Amino acid sequence: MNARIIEVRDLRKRFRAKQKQAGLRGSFTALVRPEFREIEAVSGISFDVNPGERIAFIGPNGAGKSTTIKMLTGILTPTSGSIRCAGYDPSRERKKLAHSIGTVFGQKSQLWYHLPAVDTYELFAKIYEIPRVQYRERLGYLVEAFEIAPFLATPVRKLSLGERMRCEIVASLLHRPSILFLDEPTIGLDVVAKLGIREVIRELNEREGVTIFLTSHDAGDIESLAERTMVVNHGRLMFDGATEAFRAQFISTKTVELHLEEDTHAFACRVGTVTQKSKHSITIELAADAKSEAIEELLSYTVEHFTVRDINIFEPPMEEIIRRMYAQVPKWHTTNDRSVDTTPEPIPLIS
Amino acid sequence: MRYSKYLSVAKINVTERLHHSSNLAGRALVVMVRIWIFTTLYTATYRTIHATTIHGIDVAGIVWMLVFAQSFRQSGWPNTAAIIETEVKSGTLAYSINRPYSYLLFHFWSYFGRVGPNLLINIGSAALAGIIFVGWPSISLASAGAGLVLLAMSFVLDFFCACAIGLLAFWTEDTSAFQWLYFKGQLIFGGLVLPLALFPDALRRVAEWLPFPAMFYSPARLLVSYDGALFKWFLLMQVAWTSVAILMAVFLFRRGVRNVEMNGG
Repeated sequence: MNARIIEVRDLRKRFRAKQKQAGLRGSFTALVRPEFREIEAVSGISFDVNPGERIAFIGPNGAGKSTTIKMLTGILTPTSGSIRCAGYDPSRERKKLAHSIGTVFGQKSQLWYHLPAVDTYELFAKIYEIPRVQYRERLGYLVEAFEIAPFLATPVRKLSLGERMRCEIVASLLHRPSILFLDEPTIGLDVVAKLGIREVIRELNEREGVTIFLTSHDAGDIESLAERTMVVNHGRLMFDGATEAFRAQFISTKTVELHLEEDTHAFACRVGTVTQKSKHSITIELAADAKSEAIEELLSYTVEHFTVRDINIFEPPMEEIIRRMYAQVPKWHTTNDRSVDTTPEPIPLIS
Repeated sequence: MRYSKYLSVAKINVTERLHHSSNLAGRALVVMVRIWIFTTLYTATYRTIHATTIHGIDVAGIVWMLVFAQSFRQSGWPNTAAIIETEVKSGTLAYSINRPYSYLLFHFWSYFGRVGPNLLINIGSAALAGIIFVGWPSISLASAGAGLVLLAMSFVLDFFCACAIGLLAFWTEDTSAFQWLYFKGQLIFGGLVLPLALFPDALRRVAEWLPFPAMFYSPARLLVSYDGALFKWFLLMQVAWTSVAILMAVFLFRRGVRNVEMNGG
């Protein structure tokens, strides 16, 4: 029996996008003589995933992440290449595969909007043919793990984004999938909600061995959830290795934004590099590897000398991380044999 | 278990409809107002031409045909074409096609789930209006039986036609033009304003071959007065057009799902 739960070989997806020049004339031209541009969203990706792994599949907007997830889950048919997911060919055996996978798309909802989440769960229990006793037991466990009991009977439209997202994930886990695909599950959530979701996903992986395949723009999600990171850009796999190695290599800074009551001209802390300064706000970049001490020193100084209105701490955005990856091309490496294309370019197509 | 999932799909749609009780009541009121308008309109028309019947149908007969046809037509709301189009456009198709069920049967049972509560409210309110404006109808056992058979088939036909139109969104994204044509076809040839029995003979003979009279006009016509030959004709048309609509919907879904192109996340 094959130990790998996902096998992807030379996966490609091309789209045809209609082109139109600006203005009314462009509209008429497009009507009479439509022009199409071929876009290669995924350009020959290959990788394997072992059962129980927690993987971050990351990249900037338009990198091909969601397209890849949609091919892995059978929603999109690849232009070429092959996929085996939980033993099935997703595009040909979508219904069979559905029993083995759970999907959460952070920007879309699978819950009945005007009904309480529990009504959707009842429906999903029938759709996935879960025996009644097992369903009750499973729902009880998930309700407790995700702490959704207080709002289980509240119509979904009345839930906060964080509450709704927890309910969405529960809906995807009712049928005990062996792989959970999470596409931007923490998008738009506050810090507390993000932490809660990360914690429970991690627990689920450890307790049930569910393989986690996550896409996110949030470096925090990747650091706290994934043990392995794959970076995709312009449809190509740029990095595939341990998240720790990825973090050490590419997430090298943190940004601290301070909003002060007083004028910032007297701000004289020597920690980090000031990248932006206005009358009441100051932005400082810190090295990520020295973050705890540096942040502590910076905050102590600030609190001692100023009245703080607000503090924000950011990881570098994914676009910035990718930019750094390109800048460090010669130093790229992978921590295992899974890798990949180390060609710094080309970037032939924009997806 | 395998097929009971579809009953659950219908059930959740019934539940969802009941959450929109004010909307249901509003639509029922609209149907009542329409019945009042039609009663006034046809009473005035018959009086103007000094007739008590046209093609053997009196004002009460016409009003009851419209009571039934209007209530049946309103019961399919919200329309399947728009629902499928929205799924394709918004990308929620990502959820709805990767589940262990038939996508078309899922929508089929969703439609019947919506029809249930809508129909009860619509027929109740429209019939009340009919009783108030023109008195009780005379429905025989034969007309009730034939009407119910045709009604069930007309919902199936309406669903698969609307479904096929919605599935065009896989290629065109915006199906509003097709929906417009379909609804206007129902309005003009589907007996929603002018019963087919009142059409000029030549036009009626052409219209009878279209799918629209086979929808909600056919049960409405048979409920008002039974006609064996007409029942067989409508049933034949329903079976023929439903077969065409099913084949189209299955073909469009199979082709469409292979060509799904979802933009971005």
